[in-house]
Amino acid sequence: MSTGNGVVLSAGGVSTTFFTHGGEVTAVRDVSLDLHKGQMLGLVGETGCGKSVLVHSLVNQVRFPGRVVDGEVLLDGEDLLTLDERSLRRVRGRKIAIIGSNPGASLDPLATIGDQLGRAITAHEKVTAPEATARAIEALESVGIPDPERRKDAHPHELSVGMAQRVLIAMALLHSPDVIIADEPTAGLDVTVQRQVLNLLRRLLADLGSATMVVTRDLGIVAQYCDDLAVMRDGSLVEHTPVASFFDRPSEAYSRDLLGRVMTSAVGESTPAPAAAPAAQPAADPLLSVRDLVKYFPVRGAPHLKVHAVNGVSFDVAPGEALGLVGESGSGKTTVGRLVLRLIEPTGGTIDFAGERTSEMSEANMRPLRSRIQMVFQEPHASLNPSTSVARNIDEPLRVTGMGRRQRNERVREVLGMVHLSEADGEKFPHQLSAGQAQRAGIARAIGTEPDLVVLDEPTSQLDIAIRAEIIDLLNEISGQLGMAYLFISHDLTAVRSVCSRIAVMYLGKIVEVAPTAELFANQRHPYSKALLSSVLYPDPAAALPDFRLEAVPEGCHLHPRCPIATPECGVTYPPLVELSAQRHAACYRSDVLVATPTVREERK
Amino acid sequence: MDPVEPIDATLGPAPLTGRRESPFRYYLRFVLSRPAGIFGLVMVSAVLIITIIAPWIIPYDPEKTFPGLILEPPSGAHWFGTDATGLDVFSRVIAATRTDIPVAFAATAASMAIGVILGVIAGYFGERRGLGGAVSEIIMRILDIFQAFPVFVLALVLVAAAGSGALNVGIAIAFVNAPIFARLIRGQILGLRRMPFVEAARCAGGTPLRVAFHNVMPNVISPAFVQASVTLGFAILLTAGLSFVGAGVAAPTPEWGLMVASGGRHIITGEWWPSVFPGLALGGTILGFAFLGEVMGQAINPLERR
Repeated sequence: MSTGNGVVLSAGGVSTTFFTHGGEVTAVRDVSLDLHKGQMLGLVGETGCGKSVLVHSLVNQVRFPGRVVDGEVLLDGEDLLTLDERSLRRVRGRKIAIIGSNPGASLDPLATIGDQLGRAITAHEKVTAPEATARAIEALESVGIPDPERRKDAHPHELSVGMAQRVLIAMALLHSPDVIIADEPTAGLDVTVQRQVLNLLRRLLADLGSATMVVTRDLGIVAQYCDDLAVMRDGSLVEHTPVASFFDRPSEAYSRDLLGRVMTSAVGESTPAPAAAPAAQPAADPLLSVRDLVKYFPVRGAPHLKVHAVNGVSFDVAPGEALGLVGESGSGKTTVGRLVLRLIEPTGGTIDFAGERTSEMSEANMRPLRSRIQMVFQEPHASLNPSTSVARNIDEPLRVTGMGRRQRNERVREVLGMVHLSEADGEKFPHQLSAGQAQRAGIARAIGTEPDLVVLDEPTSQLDIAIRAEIIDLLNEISGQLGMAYLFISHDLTAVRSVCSRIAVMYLGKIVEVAPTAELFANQRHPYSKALLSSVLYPDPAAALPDFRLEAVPEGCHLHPRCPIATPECGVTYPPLVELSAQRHAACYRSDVLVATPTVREERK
Repeated sequence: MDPVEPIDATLGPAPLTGRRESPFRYYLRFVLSRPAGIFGLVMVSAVLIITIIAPWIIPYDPEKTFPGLILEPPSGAHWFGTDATGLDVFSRVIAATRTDIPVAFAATAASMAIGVILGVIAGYFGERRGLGGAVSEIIMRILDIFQAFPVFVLALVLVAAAGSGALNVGIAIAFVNAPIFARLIRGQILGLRRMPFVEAARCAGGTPLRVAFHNVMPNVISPAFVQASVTLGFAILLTAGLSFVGAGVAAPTPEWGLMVASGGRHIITGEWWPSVFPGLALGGTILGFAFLGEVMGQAINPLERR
C-alpha cells in the first residue's frame, strides 16, 4: 500500500516539548511519518500518548508552553515548522485542514453555520458574499445535510452533534486541501452516527484524493476505514504498518497488547460471563419497579414545546440482577437513571424501590433511602469534589448512616481495597488520579453503604479501551462479592454485554425491546435493536440514517421513518410492548418478520 | 497499568499529576513574578507592619499640640511638619493606620461573611421553583436595591442615619460591599451546581443546605479572598472619604481623610505638608491592596496558570 510514491506531507524527526514550571515534558519524541495521496493513516494510542500534540505540531500550532524543538514537516517543499505565522495562515485551511473533535465547541455559537462557512471561504479566496453563500450551501449539501438552504441559517446549537460534525467536515473540505487531519472526529458520537460520519469522510476523501490522517483511540475505526496504521506510545511511534498486516501479526509487543485487549473486549471472551444471572424468577418481588415513567422537559423560549425525554417506560430490576439500558444519546436512558435516583422529578408514572413508592416521596423522606440507591457517574473526575481528598469523597455517603468516625474510616479503607486503590491514593486529591483511578474512587463511593441498587450512568464511556476493560472486570467482581443490583446505562454494547444478564433497548424515550443478553445478541426482535447491534459489529456503508431531534418525535412508531420493514400501520399508532416469550418483550408490529431474517455475519477482509 | 501523565493540548496545560506545589508557594511565586505584584506585596506588608508597631515608632503623641509650632514646614524634629493646630503630622500619619486599617479589615471581613452566605444561597437555590428559589430571588432583588445607589452615597446615608464614629463607618462599609461578594459567589456556584459531584453529594443523602455549604462552597471560596484584597483598598478609601466629608471619625483622632480635609485649606497659602503626606499614605495603601488583589485574581484564573 505505502509504496513511497505520492507522498504529500512528510514529517521527519518531530519532537515537541512542554516547558512547564513543573519541569520539561516531552510530549512528542522524534516522530517521522509520511502521508500519501488518497490514503488514510490511522494514528492510535491511549489518552496522553501525545496524539493531539503531534497533530498540533504538524501544523505548527503547538500551544504555549509547548514548542516544537526539533524536526521538519514538509508540504509542497515548504517546511511548515520554519514558516512565520503569516505564511502559515496561507497554508492552514487551504492546503492542510484539521477536523476537530467536540464539534459543538469548535463552531462559533453566535454565527450561523452558513456565515461560518462563508468566512472560511473568504479567508482564502476573493469571492462576493452571494457567491460565498452559494458555495456554503453546496458544501453543506456535499456532506449530506438535508435542506441546506434553510439549514445554513441555523446556529450551531440547533444542530445535533452528528450534524455539527458534518459541518466541520464541510468546512475542512472547502478548499479541497491536500492534507486532512481528523483529530478524534467521532469521539462522543453515537455508534450509528459515528458510522455515518466516517462513511461520509471516507467517500469525500476518495473523491478529493487528499492525504488523510485520522487520530483515534478506537482500533475498530482503523480496521474498517484506514489503509495504514501508526501506533503511538509515550510520544514515540512504536509501529507503522499497513492495516492488514497489523491485524494479522503486530510486530511490536505494545501493539500486540493493545490489539489483544481490544479483541477480547469486543468478543467478550476474557470477561467472565455475567455472574450467575438469577434467571427466570418472575415470582420474586422486584427491587425496583418502574411503571409508565414520563419526563418532559420544557423548551426554553418555547412554552408550548416540550422535550419528551422519557415517554412511558416500564421495567423491573430483581434483587441482585444487572439490567442494561442501552440506546443512542437522546434516547432518554440517562434521564431514566436520574429519575430513579430522584435527582430530577418525574412528570408522570411511578417508581417503587424495595416496596416503597419513591416517586411520590418528599425530598426529606427520600434521604434515608439514598444510602440504598447509589450512582456511578459518567465523568470520573467531575463527579468527585475537587476540594476534598479522595477518602473524604468516599466517606460522604457514609456520614448519613450514623456510623462513628473510626468506623467510617475503617469502611473507607475497606472499599478502597475492594476497588484496588491504595490508602495513599485515598489521601490524594481527585485531580491527582488518572481517569481510571478516579472512576474506581467513584465506584468505591457508590458501594460504601452496601446499597441494594447501583445506577451506573455510562461509567466507561469516557475511558480508554484498556481502562474500560478494567472497570468492567471490577464491576463484575464487586457484584459477585456484594450481590447488589445494577442498572447499567450505556451505549457501549460490549460493556453492557459482559456485565448484564438482561438488556432493555431504548429509542426516543421508549423501551423497544427487553431480552436476556444472550438472546438479544443472538437475535433481535426489533428493527432498532438490530440497527444498534449491527452498527457495532458489522458496519454497512450503504445505509445512512437521518438524524432526528427529540422535539419532533414522529407520529406512530418513532422508528418508522428510518425503519426498513415499516408498514403504513407503523406510521399511525405506536406498537405496544408485547411479550414474545418468557422474559422477551418487543414493541414492533413486525417482530415476526425479523425472526425470518437472521442476522448474517459478514466476515470482513 | 502505570498511569500515563496526561498531556492534553486541547485543554491547555494540564496540571501535572503527582506533586503539586502548595497553594501558598504558588501564589507567592506568581505575585513575585510581576512588578505590580511586588509593589502590592511590599506596600501591603509595610502598611500592616506599621499598623502593628505604630505606638512604638511615633515620635510624639498624635493628639498632643505644640502651641508654638503652627504650620511649621518639615524639619529634623518634625519630619512632616506640623498642622494648623500644632500637631505633629508624621506621628499622625503613622498613628492613623490604627484607625483606618482595623476598620477596613473588620468591615471587609463582615461583608465577605455576609456576602458569601447570601451568595451561596442565591447561587445554589437560584432559578429553581419552590421556597429556595423564592428566597434566592428576594436576596438578589435586595442586593439590586443596594447596588443601585452609588457606594459612597449609600454609605453616607447609613452613617447619617446611625451617627458617625468608627463602628458605624465599619458597619456601613460592610453593607455596601456585601453585594459584591454575593454576586461573585453566586456566579461561581451557578456554574458549578450542575457538576456531577454536586449530584453525587445529593445521592450521598446530604440536605440541600449541607450540600450547598459543605460540598459546593469550598470550591468557590478562593475568588472571594482575592476580591477581599481589592475590597480592602476601597474600604480604606471609603473610611477616609467619609471622614473627609465629616461623616466619619471626628477630630482629633488621627485619620487620613480627616487630615487631608483639614490640611487642604492651607495648600493655597503654600503649606502643603499637612494634607499631602496623609494623602500619599492613603493613595499608596489603596494602590498596594488593589495591585495585590489584581495579581491574585490573575493567579487564580486557570488561563493564567503556566
